[in-house]
Amino acid sequence: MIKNNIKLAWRSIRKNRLFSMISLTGLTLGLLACISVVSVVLDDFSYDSQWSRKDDIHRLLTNVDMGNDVSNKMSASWAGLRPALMDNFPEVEAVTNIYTVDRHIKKNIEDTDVIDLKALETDSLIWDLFDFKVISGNPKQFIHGKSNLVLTKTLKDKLFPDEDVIGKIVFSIPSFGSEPTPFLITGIIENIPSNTHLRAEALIIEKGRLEALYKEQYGSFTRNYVLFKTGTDVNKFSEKLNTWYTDFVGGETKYSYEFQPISDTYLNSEFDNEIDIKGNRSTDYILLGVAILVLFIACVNFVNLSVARSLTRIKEVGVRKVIGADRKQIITQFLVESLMYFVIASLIALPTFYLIIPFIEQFIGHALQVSLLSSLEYLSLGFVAVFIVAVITGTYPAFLISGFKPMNSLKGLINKNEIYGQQFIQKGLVVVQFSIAIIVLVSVFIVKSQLDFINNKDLGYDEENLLAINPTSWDGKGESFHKEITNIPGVTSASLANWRPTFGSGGMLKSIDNPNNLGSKMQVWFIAGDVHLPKTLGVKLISGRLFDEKLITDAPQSKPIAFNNEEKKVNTQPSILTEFTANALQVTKMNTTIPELETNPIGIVKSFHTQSLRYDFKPVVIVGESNPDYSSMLIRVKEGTSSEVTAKINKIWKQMFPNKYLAMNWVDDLVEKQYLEEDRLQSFFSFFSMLSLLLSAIGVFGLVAQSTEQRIKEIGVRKVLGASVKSIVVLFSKDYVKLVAIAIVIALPIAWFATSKWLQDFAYRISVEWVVLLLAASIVLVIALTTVVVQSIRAAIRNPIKSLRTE
Amino acid sequence: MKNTLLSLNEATRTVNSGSNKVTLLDNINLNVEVGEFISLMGPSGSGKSTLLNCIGMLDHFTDGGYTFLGEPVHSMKEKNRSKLYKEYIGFVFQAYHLIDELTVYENIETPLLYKSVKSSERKAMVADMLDRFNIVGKKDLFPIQLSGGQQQLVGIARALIGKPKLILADEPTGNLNSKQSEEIMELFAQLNKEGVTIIQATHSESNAAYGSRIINLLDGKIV
Ligand SMILES: Nc1ncnc2c1ncn2[C@@H]1O[C@H](COP(=O)(O)OP(=O)(O)O)[C@@H](O)[C@H]1O
Ligand SMILES: [Mg+2]
Repeated sequence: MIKNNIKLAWRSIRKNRLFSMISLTGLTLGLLACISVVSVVLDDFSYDSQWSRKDDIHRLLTNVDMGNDVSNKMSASWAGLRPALMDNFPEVEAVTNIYTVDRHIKKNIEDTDVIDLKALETDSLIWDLFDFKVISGNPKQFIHGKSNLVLTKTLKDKLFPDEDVIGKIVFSIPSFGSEPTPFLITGIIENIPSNTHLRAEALIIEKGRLEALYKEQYGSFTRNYVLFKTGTDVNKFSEKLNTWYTDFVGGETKYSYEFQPISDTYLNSEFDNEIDIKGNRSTDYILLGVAILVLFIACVNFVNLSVARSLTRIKEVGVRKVIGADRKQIITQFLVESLMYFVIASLIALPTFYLIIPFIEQFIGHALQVSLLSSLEYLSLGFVAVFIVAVITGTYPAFLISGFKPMNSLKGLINKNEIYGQQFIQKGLVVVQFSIAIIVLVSVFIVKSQLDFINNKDLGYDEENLLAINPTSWDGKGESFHKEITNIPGVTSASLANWRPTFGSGGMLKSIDNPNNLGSKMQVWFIAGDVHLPKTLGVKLISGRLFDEKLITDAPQSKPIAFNNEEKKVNTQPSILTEFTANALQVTKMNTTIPELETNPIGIVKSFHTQSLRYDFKPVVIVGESNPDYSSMLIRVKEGTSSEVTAKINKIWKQMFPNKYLAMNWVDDLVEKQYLEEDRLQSFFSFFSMLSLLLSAIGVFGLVAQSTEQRIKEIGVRKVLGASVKSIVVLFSKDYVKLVAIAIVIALPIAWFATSKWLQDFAYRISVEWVVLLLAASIVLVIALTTVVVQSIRAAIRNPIKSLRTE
Repeated sequence: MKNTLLSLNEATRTVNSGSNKVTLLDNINLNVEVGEFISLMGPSGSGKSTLLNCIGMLDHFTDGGYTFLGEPVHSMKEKNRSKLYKEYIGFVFQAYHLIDELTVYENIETPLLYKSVKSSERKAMVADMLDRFNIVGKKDLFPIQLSGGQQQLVGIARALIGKPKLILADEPTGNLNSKQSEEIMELFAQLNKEGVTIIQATHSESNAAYGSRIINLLDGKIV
């Protein structure tokens, strides 16, 4: 019976070319969209779940109590916690420090070529936590005296294709520090899978820090990864650790600790500004939602077309019933037919997905480690899901058509109520379909406008033609390097500063009493830079003055602010406030000392956006500091001279810091990089809105094709009776215009609500304008109308005699 | 010994057309014995098709009694009725009503599929039927590739494949020329001889003559 049904279904699919093409195109695209997005999301959710000890590996996080119920979470913790944990807690098997770092390698010390690589800087204990597979060498055995470098297979093949590299020494060019560091290659491992937040091409294994934990609560921070004995209750343990730590430091501390399961780090690291490899759960959900909507649109097309077409098969069903079919058998037949469409669509979609994986990988920016194709389990789950969707989709048309009374269907008599119900559902589905298309289209417009808004917003400083050199140690040559840079013809000014745009709100943070809200605290950020900083940034003076090069007091040599409360030396250093800060601190007069900040404002500048427009302004104070040991450098470049200037900077750098790596970015690139996620979302939305519009349009095309086909005789009669082409087109279009109108009424409020909600993530945002909503609505209306009109004109201009004769 | 196949007792069929009640069949009393070949005659609109459909359980009487092989059809559940129908009744139509998408072979085979007959048995039964009707050569053709007479042969073969006790034929030769009609009627006579009970509706006196009994209908009444 099933075999027979499949044969029948296949014939029916082949017989109704137009219907089958439309249905299959829609279903294939819908499934392809879903497979792709589900794969991307599966990949995102698979992060760090491949380690055999994944349940026992946790990242140690520190919560810093900032007072006022504000706490700051960070992924770093005291380096001293490592020995403390290993020595005092039997639950802890091992602790290792891991940093993801960019390193710049020379194969030979005299080479000029520098190879950039991403590496994990860590220590030998990393082998206890993660199962990296060793291919050659014995890298687990740390060789003292040098940093040990372990290459992944791909990196080895890229750098040293046919060479035995174990025991070879390469050189790392540091960004600070002045001498190249020799790395001893001790082994080769299998590639680190890309679905880990520790994605890297190499391991740099150091001896490991041996810092003790200080009762006085100082020391250095590192990233501690902890391996627990299997079965440890980590929640209980973190309580135990916190109690222990509080005792250890003598009862009072602003630090508390928590453990984050390793498989959680990728999707739950919003707080962690220092790692690049992190995902965003809500983006994943948005992607999934949109893909499901697209599949839904495709299914709606399928239902509508099946229903429309099944009306032409009523007689067949009547005959079948007369020769002995019961309803169940008829339903089975039509369900099998629907299933066949899904099977064919899946069989096209799966290989297509396989082919487009490289494009998807390019879009998400890394290899897709896990996809729907990567395990039999996922694949069969996928098929089950498709099966369920297919059954749900096929059920309605099957029930509808199997329900007619056999005698009536033989005579072509159909109960008006049955037809009415069917049309009502069909129209309802068309409305839903267009509503989705409108919502997605509005979202595209809003995301795009918001991104344009962000890109064009005046940031309060001039981000164009501005270079930023990463923080580095100047080895006492900061001022002279600055002088050389300033002498380059294309450079208008340059500044040594402890802050670069987009990297937080400042270099240092101080908590003071909030003058606007007594009893609460306020966080004030400090940017320390030389006297050229305001000019180089291009901030706009509102009142007072900027730093003066001639006034030595404007930028003293010493550390500007005494942060240690114990050595309270009175220091009223001149400073520049942003307008926002001046308002927040209620500063109206210049040259009046703010005792808490130990500063003396000399000027107010227009507020500038230190970081992404997601965040509001923060109180920022700029203080002067000359000749810092360690800082960034900002360089203002004349328009059109960028390539000469960067070449010159490189040359000067090579002369002054021959063994140091120059890491430099254009500030506008840094600004743009903050919105990578939004950019991705925008391209994704654009693509899927096109897809949903296309699918909706072909769905309506199919429906109109069906109904004109069914009404060919009616059109013929009308024409013979003298109806014009126009009146026939109007007859067919009227209904659809009504449906789109209803869709608009339903979709616009939803679209408005959804996009407004998304925009709330941004402190600086556009508002959802009516024009945008109307534009999206009109586009959908025009597309629908064009489809209907084209199709009905085709029907209307057919020779009436011909269409009458075919009956 | 007489063996009653079915009997109608004051069977009536009414429909509501708007606000008035229209009587299509009016107090029909009829006994059909196993092995009879009955011809229903009467002008167009007299109720022949309605009567056949009601006897064939595609439609139902609104009043009166209907007993089939001793079972009261009028008070039966839909499920049992369709079981009875599937087992004992075959329909032949004026418009043939073959399934266009299926070949001759498949059209004949379909009722067996619905009865879940095993594949090997099915093959044998269909082969027999094709053989008997001399249409083996046409088994892979589709209905539109056949003449009207051939289509009706397939229609009859399809009705017979389930080995029904009763064949209901609604103007089976209405669309055929006289030579084709004759062939079909010969076939019916032959089937009847083999024990199949037949009730046919017809306008043609000569067709009616093949039957063992003629029933005349007028305005839904037996006259
Ligand atoms: N479902 C129905 N509703 C109303 N009238 C019907 C219905 N079915 C048949 N009729 C009417 O019943 C009468 C008998 O029809 P029918 O049995 O087809 O006659 P015949 O087959 O003898 O030509 C006709 O007048 C027809 O119009
Ligand atoms: Mg009739």
